[in-house]
Parts: sequence; structure tokens; C-alpha cells
Amino acid sequence: MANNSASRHHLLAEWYRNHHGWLVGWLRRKLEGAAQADDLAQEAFVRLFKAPQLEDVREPRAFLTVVAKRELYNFWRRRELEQAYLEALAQMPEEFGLSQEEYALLKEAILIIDRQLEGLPGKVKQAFLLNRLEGLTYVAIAKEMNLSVATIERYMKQAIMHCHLARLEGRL
Amino acid sequence: MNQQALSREAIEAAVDWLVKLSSGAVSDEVSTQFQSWLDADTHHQAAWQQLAQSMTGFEQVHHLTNRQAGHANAVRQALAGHVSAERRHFMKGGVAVVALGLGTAYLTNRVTPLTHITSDHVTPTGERKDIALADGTRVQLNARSALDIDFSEKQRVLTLHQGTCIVDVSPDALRPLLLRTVHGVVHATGGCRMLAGISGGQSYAMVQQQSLVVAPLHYRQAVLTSGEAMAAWFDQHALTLKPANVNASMAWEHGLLDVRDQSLEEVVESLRAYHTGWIRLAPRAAGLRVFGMFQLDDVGQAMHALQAILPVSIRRYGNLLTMIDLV
Repeated sequence: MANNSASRHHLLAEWYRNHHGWLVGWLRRKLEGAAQADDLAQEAFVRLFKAPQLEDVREPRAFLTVVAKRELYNFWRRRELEQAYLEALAQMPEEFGLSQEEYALLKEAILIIDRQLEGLPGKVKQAFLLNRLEGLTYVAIAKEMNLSVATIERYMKQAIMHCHLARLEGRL
Repeated sequence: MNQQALSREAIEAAVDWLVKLSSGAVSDEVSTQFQSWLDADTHHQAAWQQLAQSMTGFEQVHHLTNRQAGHANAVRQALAGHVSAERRHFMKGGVAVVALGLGTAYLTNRVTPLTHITSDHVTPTGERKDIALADGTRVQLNARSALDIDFSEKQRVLTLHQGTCIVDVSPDALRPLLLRTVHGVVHATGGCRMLAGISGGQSYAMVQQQSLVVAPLHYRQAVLTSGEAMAAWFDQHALTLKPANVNASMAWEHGLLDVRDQSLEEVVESLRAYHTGWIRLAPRAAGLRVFGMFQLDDVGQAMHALQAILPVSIRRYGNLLTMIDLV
């Protein structure tokens, strides 16, 4: 077991030596030179530490690309959400009243919700978010969306079940 | 698992209740009915709790945005993908944007220490590691620690970059064992059991059997022997001996935090290595003195215990944020 982990560690060190610079370059091109390339490359290697059966991988760079693409996707999605949020906020009269910590927490929560909601139809999502986040009553949502209250109830049930299953399936 | 054991009916019933209770117009009658449903069966309670857990992301947003309605609205728009204004408009939020990069980096780093990723052994938040070396030496690495191991024919060198380790040094007259940190070197003279760590810009070492020579990079060395109940705290230019309970300091190897008259701040610092979320400690509560034994592998339990023995209120927001303040 110890021997196995030693050889695994050796392999990882070798990958890091041979491919880390290349991966950073690859990410930098995708990110148009953004400084996050280093962070994302590190994250990709952190993921490798956890990947089973590294020894079987024949094409390290192809494998790394797959891992890094996922990191990149998360990064982009994160940024997209963040920008959408700040853009929306810029329209509001309020000050930006959150501390850095609170803001970071908020972003994490948004990301979790975003993953939970993935795959829900737009209208269902809209009704659900109006209720969950802004506390609108079903009657108010029905009015705003021009639908019946019974439909809103159905949407709510669908959305709650969807979120719950997303967590049970470990998609978060 | 536990989650599977619950019947689909119980979950569906819980969902139906949540739909009913979220309508914004809940009659007393419905509330009473819900309460009796909940009380009727422990499976109902379990299902309800499970469902509540799935909704914690929303709770979190709700909690963070409740002071300002605009925030909740902005979150909703972001999630609904209704991005109306063009990118240029976004520059208005320039100051906030600078702030946010830090936040994510910090959170990522709470989950995995990135700084020493290339070290031979790295432990993430909440995980310890036991390393058996070929010469019979055993190293235990505490959570959020990083260590390099370099053994040659002439010497045995451990380099601690971050965190804490306990080393049971196997005696070897020909190859001394050195533990390096950025501040200096600890020599294990024979077979011994030692603890070394880095905290708050200093390194420290303690010994449980035999003795150690502690040599800061640019300062005279000192000898530390077991039975003295002392810790050597040092940086590159200074070394101080302070009273310490060696056994208590090593309790983490058993997953315990053994606290004998430490400040709450120190206790929280130890717990942080075992908790991925933030723990915010109000400055006015930081100086409280703590005695007690806490479970490191269950920070929630440790928080309960702290609340039971200290005049503090501890509020937890999901796993992400824990706030501690005086009552």
C-alpha cells in the first residue's frame, strides 16, 4: 500500500514536472492571458491527486486537458454568474453592503443553487426563484407570470424535487 | 445509506408540505396539520430535515441578502440568466470586483492548501496522514500541513512547510534526523518523539522522549529535553522557551483537541484546520479562557461543547459560516 502510494506520488511528481508548464500555457490561451491560469492548473493537479488509477493513463496531456476543461468550465460559469449578479446589482439603488467574506459566501451559495437548478425549464426556475429568493407569494407569482396559482404550485413541487434529487445524486 | 432508507412517500410528503408552507398565505389550520404530520413519525422528521438540507443554498442567500432586497433580486436575475445591461455597465461595480477575487481564492484554499502542492505530503482541511518511513521513523501530519522528506545515505531531512507534525524518530547513529522549517533546524539527537509546527510566523518544537537541539537560522541554538514541559518557539533571529503541555499538544494524533487554559482564539485556530467553512470569532470573545477536550473530526460537536462551557452564542449558517460572539 505504502509502496503503491509512493509510486503514485512519483508519477504525480513526474506529471507535474513534465506537464505543469504546458498546462498553464494551454489555460492561459483559453483565458486570454488571465492570471487565473496558474490557479486553475493547480486545481487541476489537486484533482489528479484524488483521481483513482492514475497509473493506467496513457496520454497524460489528454487526461489533463479533460480535467482542466472542467475547471475552466466552472471558472467561466462562476464568473458569468458573478457578472450577471453585479450587473443586476448595478441597477439597484442600494449600496454594496456586503463584507468580502459575506460576498464570497454569497457567490458560493449562488454556484450551489445554479448547479441544483441545472436542467429545470425556464418558467419553473423563474417561479421557484421568485418565491425562494424574494419571498413572493404564489398569488403574486401567478399574477406576474400570467399563470394560474395551481400551475405555480406544480412548478414549485417540480423545482423542490429537482433540487433535492440534485443533492442526493451528488451533483453539487 | 441513511438517505436511501427513507421512503419515497415520506420525501414526497415533505415536498408537498414545503410547497404548502411556501405559498405566502399559510393558515393556522395548515400549520397545525403540518405540525401533527411532523410529530406523527420520526421518518417524517428525517425526511423534512433532509429536504431542509437540500435547501441550504437558498437559506444562505436569504440570510446574506435579507438586509437589502436588491441583493436578492440581483441574485435571482443572475440565476435566471436575465442579464439585461451590457458589459460596460458592469464596470460600475469595479471596486466590488477587485474584492471578490480574494474571496474565492480564500475558499478554495480552505479546502486544499495550494501553496505547497508540490510537497511530498500534503494534507487537506480535516485530514491527518500517517507516514511510515523505511528507517522505522513514523511521521504523523496534522490537517492542512505540508512536508517534504529527503533521506540520503548521510542524513535524514524532513522539511515542514506548513502545519504540524509528530515524528517518532528511529535512532540511527550514522544519520541524524533534521527537521527544517523556514525559521531554522531541529536536530533529533537519538531516538525521540517530537512535535513541530509553524504558527503565526514562528516555528515551535516540543519533545516527549530524549532531547532536541533547536537551532534558529541566525541565532544561538538551545537544547530541549523531555520532562521540562517546555516548547521552543523560534523564528530566524530569536528563540524563547515557553511552558507547554506536551501530551495535550499531541492529542490531535488521536483526533482530539486537549485544551488546558488557552484563549478561545487559539482554540478556534486549531479547529480551523478541521473545518472548510469560515469561523468568525468576534474580537471581544477571543480572549475567553478555555479548558476542555474537543473532537477535531466533528467541528459541529466541538462548537456545541464550546457553547455549553462559555458565555458565547454560536450561530452556524450551513457549513460555510460559523459566527461566535459573546452572549
